[in-house]
Amino acid sequence: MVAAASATVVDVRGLTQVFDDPLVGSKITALNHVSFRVRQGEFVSLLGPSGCGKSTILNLIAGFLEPTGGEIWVYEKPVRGPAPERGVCFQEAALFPWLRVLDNVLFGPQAQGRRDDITAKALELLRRVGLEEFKNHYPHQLSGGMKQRVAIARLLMNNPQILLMDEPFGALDALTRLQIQEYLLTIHQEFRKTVVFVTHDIDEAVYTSDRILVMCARPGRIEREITIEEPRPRKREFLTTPDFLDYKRQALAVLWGDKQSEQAV
Amino acid sequence: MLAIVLPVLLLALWTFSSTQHIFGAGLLPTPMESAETYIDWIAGKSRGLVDPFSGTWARNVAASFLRVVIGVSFAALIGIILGILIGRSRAVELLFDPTIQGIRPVPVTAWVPFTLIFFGISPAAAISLIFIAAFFPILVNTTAGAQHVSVAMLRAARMLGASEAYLLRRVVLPSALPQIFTGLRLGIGMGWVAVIVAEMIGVKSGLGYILWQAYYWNRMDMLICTVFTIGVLGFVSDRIVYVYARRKFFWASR
Ligand SMILES: Nc1ncnc2c1ncn2[C@@H]1O[C@H](COP(=O)(O)OP(=O)(O)OP(=O)(O)O)[C@@H](O)[C@H]1O
Ligand SMILES: [Mg+2]
Repeated sequence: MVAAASATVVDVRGLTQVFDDPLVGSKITALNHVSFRVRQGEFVSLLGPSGCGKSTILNLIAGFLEPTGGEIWVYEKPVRGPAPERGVCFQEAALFPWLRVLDNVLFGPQAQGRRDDITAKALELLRRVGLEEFKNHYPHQLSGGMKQRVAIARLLMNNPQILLMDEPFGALDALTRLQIQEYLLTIHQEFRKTVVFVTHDIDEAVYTSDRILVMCARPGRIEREITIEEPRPRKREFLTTPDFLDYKRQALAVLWGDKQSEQAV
Repeated sequence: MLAIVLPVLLLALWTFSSTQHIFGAGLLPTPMESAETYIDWIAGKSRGLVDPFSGTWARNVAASFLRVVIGVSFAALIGIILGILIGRSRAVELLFDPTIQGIRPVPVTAWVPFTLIFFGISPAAAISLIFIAAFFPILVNTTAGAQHVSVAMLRAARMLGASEAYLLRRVVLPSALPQIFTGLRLGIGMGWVAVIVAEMIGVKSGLGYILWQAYYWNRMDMLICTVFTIGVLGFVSDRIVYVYARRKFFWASR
């Protein structure tokens, strides 16, 4: 399918998510009428404080949860459960610990019964993430950053059109994080993937995104939309420009405003 | 090193009490006498006496061991499949779990009359009793293992395109295997209990049968030899599974 550059890929319409906990007898409105669209090849970040519903949105788009209200359309079809076209990257790499690195990467195509040149492609992807020599290692023998890179290789093996990433780099040190962010941007650029990226790191959101949806909590909602005009490919120098600081200030203003209004209540 | 302190102490106590006739003359054989009996039991005719037990070791050990292996294998086959389905499907759980939990508290010895009525005096009686004994620990542990598969891993497998059947086979089963092996070890232990009980009453071969014959002929030396053998076999079969599991599931402890 050849989509126009601006075609809508993910369409979130009036999403409301109420978590009903019959054991505790409480209802939590995690999301209240959230609507947004993501276009083909766009990199959109969901930025907001802990508990504002970022993961919930992602899990809904992924099809892990069913919305209690509203709809999600992906490629003009309503979402019904998870599918390989929507690849998800979790906060913890969620590798299969009993499988070697290479077998983890091969899991997707094997699950779909593919028997073609998958090993060659898996090795190529492992080379791309710099882990070819580790193909016979087990996940517990890898560092956090290496695990996350294996998870990305495993994901790309399925060639998903959409990448849904939930704070994938949260546990990494600053330098590793920067490297893997750059790698993600390369993938995004090279394969024209559509990315929905969850983070509570403002720098990360500004550095990587075309658009930032700033969220507020209780109930979870999108408060502001910030478009980052910086051209791609993004350079490291962008991190220290006045423009960068200005975007950061805009995001902070929304987030702090949220905190103040919360204290006022 | 510490592990052998107690056995040595027990052996000393045994030597002392048997040579000093603490329990009355001739009741408790000495370790040396028991060792001679054991050698005769294995090799046969070494003492030139007419002893019904002599040379029957291999045959009876093999009989009991085989019954445990067969009974536990059937229990594992059904226990693992059913346990995984109960652990992953609410409907299967509702269908089976209440009944199973109702039957589980019945001690395995209570089933002896039933197995005798169904199978008569035969190896099948022993095997079915072993099956009943080993089934529950395997099932309960498999169910728990299947229920505690990490949500992130299940989601990862689903978004990678795994069907529900594929998920059970390639994510739920391997993820639950360490706990399944815990159930297997408990099941094997229960299997040894069941095989001895069954053979004492319902089968004419095996270590349980020998144990009962030794009691019947008032052969304290043979009783000691048989109990020792049962202990060693139970220990060895557990160790084999334990060591195998330790090496295979190195990833589980991290
Ligand atoms: N399965 C659930 N059952 C009940 N409540 C839930 C569930 N999942 C999320 N919630 C609630 O929904 C709200 C949003 O949760 P969510 O995980 O989406 O937040 P988040 O923005 O991802 O936070 P964080 O940055 O800490 O990951 C929270 O108040 C949480 O308590
Ligand atoms: Mg979250």
